[in-house]
Amino acid sequence: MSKTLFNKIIVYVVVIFLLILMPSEINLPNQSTIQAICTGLAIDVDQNNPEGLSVTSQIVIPQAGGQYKQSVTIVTTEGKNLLDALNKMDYQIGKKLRLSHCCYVIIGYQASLHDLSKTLDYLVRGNNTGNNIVLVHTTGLARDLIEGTTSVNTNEVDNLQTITKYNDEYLASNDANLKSFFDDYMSPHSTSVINCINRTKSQSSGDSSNSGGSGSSNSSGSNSGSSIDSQAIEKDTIKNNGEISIFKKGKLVMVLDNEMRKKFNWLDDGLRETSVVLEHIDSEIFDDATIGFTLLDKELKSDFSIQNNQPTVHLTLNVRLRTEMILQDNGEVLPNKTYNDQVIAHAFNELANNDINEVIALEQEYGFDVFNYYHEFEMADYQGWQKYLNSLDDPENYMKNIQVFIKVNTDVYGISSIIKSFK
Amino acid sequence: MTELTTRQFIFVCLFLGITSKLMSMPVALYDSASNDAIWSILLGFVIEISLAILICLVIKKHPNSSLFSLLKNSVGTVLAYIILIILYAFITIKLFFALEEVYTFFKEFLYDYFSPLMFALATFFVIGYLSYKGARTIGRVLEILFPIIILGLLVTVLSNAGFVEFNTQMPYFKEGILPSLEGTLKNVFYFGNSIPLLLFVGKVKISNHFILKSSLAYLSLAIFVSGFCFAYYDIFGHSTILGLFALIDYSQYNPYILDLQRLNWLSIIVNVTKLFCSTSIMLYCLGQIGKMITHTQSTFIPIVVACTINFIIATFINYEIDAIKYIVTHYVSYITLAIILLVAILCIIMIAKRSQNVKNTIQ
Repeated sequence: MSKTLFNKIIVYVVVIFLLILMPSEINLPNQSTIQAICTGLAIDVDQNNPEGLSVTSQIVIPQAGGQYKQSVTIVTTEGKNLLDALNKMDYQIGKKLRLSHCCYVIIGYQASLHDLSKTLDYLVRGNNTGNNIVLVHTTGLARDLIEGTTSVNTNEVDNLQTITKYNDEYLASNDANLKSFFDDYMSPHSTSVINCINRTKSQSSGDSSNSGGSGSSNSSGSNSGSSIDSQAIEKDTIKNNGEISIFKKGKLVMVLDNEMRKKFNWLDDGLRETSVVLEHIDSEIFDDATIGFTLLDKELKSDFSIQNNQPTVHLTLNVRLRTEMILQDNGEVLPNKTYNDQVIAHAFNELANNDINEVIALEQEYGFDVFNYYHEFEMADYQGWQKYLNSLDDPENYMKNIQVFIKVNTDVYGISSIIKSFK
Repeated sequence: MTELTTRQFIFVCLFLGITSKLMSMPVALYDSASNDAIWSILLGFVIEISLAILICLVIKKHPNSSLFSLLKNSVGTVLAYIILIILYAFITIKLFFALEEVYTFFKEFLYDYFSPLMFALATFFVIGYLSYKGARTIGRVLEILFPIIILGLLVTVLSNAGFVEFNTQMPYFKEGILPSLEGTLKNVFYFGNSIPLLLFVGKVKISNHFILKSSLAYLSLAIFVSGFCFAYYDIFGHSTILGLFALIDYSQYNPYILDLQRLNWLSIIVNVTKLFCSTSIMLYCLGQIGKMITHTQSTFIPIVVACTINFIIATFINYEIDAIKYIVTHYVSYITLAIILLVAILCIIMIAKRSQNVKNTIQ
């Protein structure tokens, strides 16, 4: 075997190759001494130059035996654009900044008022970044939020990603990453929705925070609390309040709070709102009751048509609810069964109708198109849609003349209704 | 004289067919045909499969003839040499393009600096040796590596399948069928991968249902590549034109699989394997053409010459992939179309000649 092997010229060629390549490979410097790993970016407007950017990077410096938190550092540089700022950052840290591990980009409020496609072009076009970078908007300074990810939590990157993943499934944020943002931006509707997450710093007394906010205090708590009461403790948290930011042509249009965002969720079949609460339900059984439901199922059927140059949408929303909570104003505790479906269904239909109408009115007022009705009308009647667009003075504002008709069908389930179905 | 079994030949078809189709082709086609790009791909496959079936028919009809003798009998000695030189030039460009894609992949996604000299040295050493060992060795290597490639590609494709919505590219043909036709014509270079199969005339052991098996292999390739491109276009939509390599973009899309290193490892395995297999087949074809032109007994010298030519191109004319794509879509594709037509006509002549011979014998 060995004789056969050493007779082959290939063995000698391999050895020569190794002799040539090995010394040069061994002499290469350690990658960590020439490269810095960026795990997140925050983009704000430069305070000294409103046309420029202030870019903050969360950098992991690899250290032997070090823990993750110890090796994270924050660096900020200013530049005319993102590339310029990142180049300056290379000088500042004395290493080449590598973006392939960058997981998220946070956009500050001032920066979001400018066209984000110009700001982020370097990231989406360059090959040194992944295209799954999560985009996050904040109503304050992006730098504050990225600093918060380093100081507030212990496992920052994962937490921001977990938050945005939750948003993807339950809020109308639609997988907001770099590529999807540009896809939306380059689409005719040019409306993008991204998550809005804020860092909140609030002063709270040491007493309440120690007692877990319960308001009660035992004897030992009150003894030790006397010294803490006098000094305020700053609570520093990164909060996902369920807010979303809407962008039209890359610029911020508005930030929707959680209540308004919930209303948007009715119009997206893929999003699962977990709970619905109806208030002031009055009937023979209920006395100004607040009733909570879990949304078991939601189905949205949309019929898009254009007749006589009038785009029309017929929406049919079918929902299935399960009663989870009944709070009677008179304090009476009702047995666990299905109550008066018609009253609840009527109240729910009214709620969903109002919500959807409010959403459509908002879209028509501000001219954005979160649910890509442009595409739906194109699919339904391409020629008719083009004719409609051509007839408009401002084709960008195509939402304003769209008529929407809504029909809501509610089915309320309780435990007893399931039993009833077996009888 | 036969060197490959039918199964090995099918693997050769598949590896040649898939070369370049998952990397820069989807982006280039979307750039040309926008949301009709998927139809351009299907049309491109119609061209590629048609040519492949014609070549397979020639292989089946002439199981014991060499390509050179067939060409000489069909079109004469001078034309036979000219055709071989054209094929040589075309396969050299294909080989260079395949190498450049993988080199760019390494340079852009893995290393800050990646020496083209070192890349060319190592690559040509391996693929040169593999092609020198002959079609049988390549066929065995393909048999072993094929399941790995398929598994890797399937995992990559399925990892993001949940993001596909199916209708984001619709409605198709907004501006008629012209954009999709233009997309195919501009990028027909990507669909000329079946041309090197011509060099396998007389080297395949023909089994039952040879044509059917080969056609099915190409059909499954077309379905897989079209499915991948459909998913890619569906997910990336209008931002497709900002991409570079579809397979890499696609595997990096999912933001929740960071623990798997964004499937980069899989992309590396798939690309490197694809590189060695498909380029060694092409280099083998170049060696065979060189052997036919120079009438040498061994393929050693022709392969060394082919390696040297490609080495010089790869090392010293180091175009960026964008520049190569521009050249391909603006110049080479039209030449490719002409070559495809030429090869198709040749195949028809060769098939007809055989039929005539048989008829004469019967008479």
